[in-house]
Amino acid sequence: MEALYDELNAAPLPMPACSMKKNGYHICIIGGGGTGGALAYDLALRGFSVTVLEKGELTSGTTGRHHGQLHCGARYAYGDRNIARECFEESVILSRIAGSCIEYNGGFFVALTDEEADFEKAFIEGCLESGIPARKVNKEKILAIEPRLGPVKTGVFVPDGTFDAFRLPMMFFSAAKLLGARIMPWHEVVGFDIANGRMQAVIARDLLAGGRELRIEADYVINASGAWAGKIGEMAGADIPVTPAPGAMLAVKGRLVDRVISRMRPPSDGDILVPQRGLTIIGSTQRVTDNPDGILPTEAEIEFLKAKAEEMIPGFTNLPVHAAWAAARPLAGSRKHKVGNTVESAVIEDVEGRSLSRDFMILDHAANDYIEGFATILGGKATVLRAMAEKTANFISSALHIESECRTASYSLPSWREYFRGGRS
Amino acid sequence: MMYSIQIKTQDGTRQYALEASPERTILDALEIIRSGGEKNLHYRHSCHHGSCGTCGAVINGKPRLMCLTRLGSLGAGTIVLEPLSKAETLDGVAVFPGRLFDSLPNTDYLKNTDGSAAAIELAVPEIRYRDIPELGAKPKRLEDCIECGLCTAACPVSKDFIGPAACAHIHIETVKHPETSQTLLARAFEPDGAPACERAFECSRICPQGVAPGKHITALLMTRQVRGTGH
Repeated sequence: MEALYDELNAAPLPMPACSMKKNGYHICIIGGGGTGGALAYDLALRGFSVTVLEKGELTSGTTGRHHGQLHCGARYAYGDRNIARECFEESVILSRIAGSCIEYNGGFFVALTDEEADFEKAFIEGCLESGIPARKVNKEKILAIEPRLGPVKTGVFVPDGTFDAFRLPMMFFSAAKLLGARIMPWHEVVGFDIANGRMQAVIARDLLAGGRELRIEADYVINASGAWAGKIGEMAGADIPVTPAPGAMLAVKGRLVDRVISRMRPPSDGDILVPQRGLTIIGSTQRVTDNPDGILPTEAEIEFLKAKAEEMIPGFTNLPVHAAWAAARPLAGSRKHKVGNTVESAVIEDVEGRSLSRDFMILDHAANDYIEGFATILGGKATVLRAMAEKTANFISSALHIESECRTASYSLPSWREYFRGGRS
Repeated sequence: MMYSIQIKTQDGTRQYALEASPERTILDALEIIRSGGEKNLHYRHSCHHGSCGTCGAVINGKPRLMCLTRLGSLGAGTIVLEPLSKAETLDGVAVFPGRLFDSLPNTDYLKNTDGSAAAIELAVPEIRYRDIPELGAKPKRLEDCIECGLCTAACPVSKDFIGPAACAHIHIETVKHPETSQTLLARAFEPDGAPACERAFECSRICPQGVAPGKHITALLMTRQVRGTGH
């Protein structure tokens, strides 16, 4: 920890301009969301050849629809200090390597009820024990800084922020592209070539070329398709316990606060206000569904979110809705192993979804489904995308028995604009 | 309500019909149609709330963001969607915005907010990390321009022109960082820079973010006039 913070206090270096020395291995990543982008960059920086397949535009699934809260970890500190600690480290790293698309202004956890105020002590303790500098701020000071907030009893200042949910992941894609990764949006995975218990190739369709089929041979295939991971798994005959969990969000025009506002209580629905550019976003809700495609917010969700925002900012409901949308987050269900290679389908312990682990996991299909060279990454949070990529790239390196080192925390990322420059790759 | 949507490209037209609430957006409608099994419907989208700038299209003749255009706002009749002009069309309304991003310089994407710096003394515990948010710091926010290319598509200039968004980027940067933006400023005065503007101001009318690129172009041209009188 100490060493990491010392390192973080050094300015990030510019990313190496030329490609790394290639190590001869080719990795195919399925899914062009934030995780896929961060992984493509991490692997390319280690010398892997990388191909990313995405059925639509990059970040068009769940990634771009995030409200953009850069979690310092305070929200998780009470429940899981390890997650909180990692969130804080990663939020600091992202602010340093991708600061150009982050509004790093901090956040307040506010108590609106006596019950929430009673939670304050435990909340601050949880933060401090997780290494997060949380400070009690009294009501008068909070209202002087964020005058639109309603009847706040007390609050805590934490180092939260807001990132641009499109541009942050696109910075990783820019970096991957500059390092020679082949990024292929508009390519839908339709099957796999698995022979002798080993992943040989991914079969994809070029959707802009009338569905022309391509065969992409790879030494390792990573399913990073999030809420779509189950559908991809089916094609390979692997059972992947993931449940698409739509969450609705709503934005009004006007920057009602300058800092992220969270309720001082364990995570629940409608408890976060995120300022972003000239908007204020209230998030979010959670339900579960079978199909991650075409997710839209319901009227009930919209009304619920407005009412929750009104509790924090009186007058919120009078503002016209700028946009209401929903994103299919991937919820990892627990799985049970039977004798042999059959696996029970996902056991979802709580249909509301909130209590399911939101931690990150790597499912090795060699161990679970007898497919060598294939793994699925699941769960996690947007703020920790770089760390998820690091863990996954370590895992791939170890599976391929090669030594490699993660260096993504050391370099500042190029602009998101680079991805679109210089023609289509 | 029943809605009829026509996607018009150089290769022909495709017609879709759907039942949806007038509160739903054009982007929602395309999502409904595609998830209903229409595999050959391609469009760019990401944030669904007017922040990413990917879902621009010409809607009933006017460049707009699909995610912020409600079905009920368009009146009766078939809704006609076309790809943004001056961009490489991929399929349907999906474009590759390469030319736009080739023209956009890398500028400081953060600016100060209207919010007050909290001039409040706090007992601050010793913090070892550099650059984490401080309560007393002046808040910053992302720039308004979402690089959606609607202004470029609406601009009637047909000769070489870096476009309204690039000019706005340059002007904003020169105001924010005058000392480091002289090279950029020079770029704005090349023949395909601000001087190429024909003052139609379609860019300012069409901008979904109120950036008013026309205003920035005018300001850029004024700086040269002011400076020019000195010679």
